[in-house]
Amino acid sequence: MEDEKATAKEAEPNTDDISGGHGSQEGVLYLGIDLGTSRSAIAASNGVREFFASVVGYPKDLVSRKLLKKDKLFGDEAFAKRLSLNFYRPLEKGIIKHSDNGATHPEDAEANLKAASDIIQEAIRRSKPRSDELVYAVIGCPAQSSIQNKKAIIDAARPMVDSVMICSEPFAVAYGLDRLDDMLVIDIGAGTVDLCRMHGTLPDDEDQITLDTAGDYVDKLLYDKLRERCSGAQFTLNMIKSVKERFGFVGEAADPVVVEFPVAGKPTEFDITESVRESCRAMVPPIVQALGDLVASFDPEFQSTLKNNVLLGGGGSQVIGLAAAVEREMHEKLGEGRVLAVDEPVYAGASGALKIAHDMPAEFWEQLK
Amino acid sequence: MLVRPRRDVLESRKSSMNSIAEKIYRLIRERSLGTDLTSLKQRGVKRVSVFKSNQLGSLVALAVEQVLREYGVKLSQGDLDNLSEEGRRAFISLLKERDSYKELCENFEKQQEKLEMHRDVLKGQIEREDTMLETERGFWEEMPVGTGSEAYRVRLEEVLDRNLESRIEMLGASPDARLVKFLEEMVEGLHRELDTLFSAAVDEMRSEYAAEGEKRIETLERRVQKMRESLDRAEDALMRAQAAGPTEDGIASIYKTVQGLTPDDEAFSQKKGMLEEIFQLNKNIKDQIG
Repeated sequence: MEDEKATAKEAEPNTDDISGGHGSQEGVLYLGIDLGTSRSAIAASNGVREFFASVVGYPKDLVSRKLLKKDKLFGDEAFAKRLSLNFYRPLEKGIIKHSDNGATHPEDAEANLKAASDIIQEAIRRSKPRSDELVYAVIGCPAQSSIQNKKAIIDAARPMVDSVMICSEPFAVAYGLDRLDDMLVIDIGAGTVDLCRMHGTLPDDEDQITLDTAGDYVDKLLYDKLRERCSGAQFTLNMIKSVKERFGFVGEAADPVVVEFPVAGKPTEFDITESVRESCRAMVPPIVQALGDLVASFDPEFQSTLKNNVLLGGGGSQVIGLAAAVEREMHEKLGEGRVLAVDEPVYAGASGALKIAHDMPAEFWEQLK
Repeated sequence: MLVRPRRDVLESRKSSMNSIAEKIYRLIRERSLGTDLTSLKQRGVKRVSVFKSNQLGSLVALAVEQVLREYGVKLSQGDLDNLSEEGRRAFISLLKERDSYKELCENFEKQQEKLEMHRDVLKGQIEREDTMLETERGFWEEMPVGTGSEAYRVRLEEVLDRNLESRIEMLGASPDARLVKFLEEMVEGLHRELDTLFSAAVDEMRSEYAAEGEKRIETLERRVQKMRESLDRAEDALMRAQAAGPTEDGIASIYKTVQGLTPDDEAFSQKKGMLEEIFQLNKNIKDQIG
């Protein structure tokens, strides 16, 4: 026994010494982060571009922790193992859940804040920063998020970066595309639709409108419709979200949308074309209404220019035919309109934030350290 | 007619070249393929073409020369030599970096193997200690304390009884009934006394044994507990190591210094104003956070 003990002691490695360390700081890594309700995207000046679902899970108990071999799981991996996890989707309508009413739900507020913080840190980790580089990050958040929420985001990022700033998400999209004048930006996320009027200066509160008729709203609408129309079918909101992301469209359908849902355990086909079209179409009227409000309160001389320079971005803009549908509705309600969809809706916010980070003068970063 | 100063042209070219460099960097990153000999063998690949470092160096030098020519940048032979030398040094430094990363990966694997071995040793020890503990518990629970003494007591009682019988026989055919009763009562008293004495002795023995057993079991339990804690620590360390992967250096940024807007940028003053405002908003938040 004593011999075995001695062997075990000899074999015991230094379990604390498993991380590396670096010396002097060299190089500057800029990060642009789009912290979204549904997914978060990151673009970095080392060429890394990644996105993952904004969810995090913590093993429920010691057994699941040992099985999963991780303390935290993110994105698709967390979704896949969610039954063994305390699962968090900490952002709702573009802000950290309960960050504005922490006093009434202190435990929930704390848990969601931790989850959001872990997601931000995971996004930064995925950018593969070198420890000898300065890391400067710009994080996009919804146009009208509260000061508490902005503070929470900064607090979450600070331990992993040298300096951090936040900016309005739709502004980041516009800045990234160099469309700073007489432009209306629509950023459709899962939690919010952010509309922002660009007129050569940093947009203020009157230039921005945030709607909650975004991706999650469409998912719920489609879920409710299918509950009514697909008798006996079993599905979850998560399954509906995947269906929408795959087949979402407005206008004319190229092909019927046929999906399989289990009915009493047996996979059964359902044609859900009309439900998908109606649900996705529901986003259009509020957007055009908000566009109208932003146009109407603008200098009349430039209203027409504004209506003919509408930029559609964000993950939600990937719904097929959405730009054309908004344009049609604009013609009907506002007399005219021209809508362009950005090339890379998922990365438009992160790339814009990266560009802001790159352009920000050194002394500003220094002062925010 | 406005004529752009030569410096602007050069700056603009420099910026274009930076953007080209960025593109080349991204392309290389995207198209680089890492593999190992085992997977190549599995795919039936027996030969692969490999660039030597001097060939790569020549290719990069050629590409740079072509780009410089394309952008009409004329450099003296000295500048070209300097550029080539700088490129060569950067390339060698990258190679060194790759070697050090490789070494880091190997160390990491060794560390991981060590941790796994440590964990397995601990698991084996815990299993053995658990078995010992069970055996020990069983032994102390079923220990036949006093069984031997009980037999001895029975024998003594038999001797007493036999003694009494022989004494009564010695008293003759019609012994005095009072004497017989006296003898019988005396033997009964002796029986009771013996019972009491033996029970007390057995109780004392039992408690001594129990204390010894408890002590041994406690020691074993503590040892097992310590081993379990050690196992947990080893598994935690292994988990952390697996999650962290080799302590990689990350991917270097394309920027060595802080950038920032330059007067040559398009819409410089407009963007400058916007960036100042963003900074100010963030400064206010920072002040509020304290």
